[in-house]
Amino acid sequence: MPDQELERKLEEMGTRYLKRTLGELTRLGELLGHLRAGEQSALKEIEQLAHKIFGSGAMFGFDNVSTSARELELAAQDTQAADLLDRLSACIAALEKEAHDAARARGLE
Amino acid sequence: MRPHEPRVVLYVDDEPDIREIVQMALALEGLEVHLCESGEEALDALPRIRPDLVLLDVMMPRLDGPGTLERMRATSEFASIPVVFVTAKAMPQEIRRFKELGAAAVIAKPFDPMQLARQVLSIWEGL
Repeated sequence: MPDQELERKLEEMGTRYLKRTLGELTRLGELLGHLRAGEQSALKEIEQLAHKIFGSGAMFGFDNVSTSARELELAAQDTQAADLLDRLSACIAALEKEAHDAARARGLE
Repeated sequence: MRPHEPRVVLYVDDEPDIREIVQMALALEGLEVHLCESGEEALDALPRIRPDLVLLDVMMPRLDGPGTLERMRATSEFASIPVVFVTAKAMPQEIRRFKELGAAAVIAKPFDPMQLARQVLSIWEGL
């Protein structure tokens, strides 16, 4: 029964991923604050965190979370955009909504 | 001669979640899976692990997948181990470039964990 066992383990890991992502959203909010305060290095960290959430999310079947994280990653790469901070803020809010929706669908909230 | 199935597989990726998924998916199919979190660590581990097949993430900090493959190919002992890239950059022109670099195949990320073992075995059969 390797398939069933893999499914069960993936579900456990997916739950762990969602809980961690909810924690990372707090971190993303903090990083955005640092960036607003002029700390440019925060942008790279936002991009890396978004890339990680994007990459794992799709593997666990959280497609909407993953897509939102990808949009945040792309926004963070577009460093010359005049409305960079607003776009990041909107992407983080969208990601937060998707993560909470996914957590609710799993009965975690 | 190549064994009928790869017995020992080395997976290299800086993302812990994905390492764990690959480990589970392949180990449940009876493969011996070793994990490394960087290209450097993989190069160090090769003499000890002696894998039949290496799966390499492309985007890793410092030594990336293509860089790791290049170093493997420069070492006579490991030059002939088949390498498969695992990457989110799986557009046709990128796949072509990876194959030119010497990759046996490319697995696109995100992959379906439920299908991974079958995918790896089918790549192996086609070598």
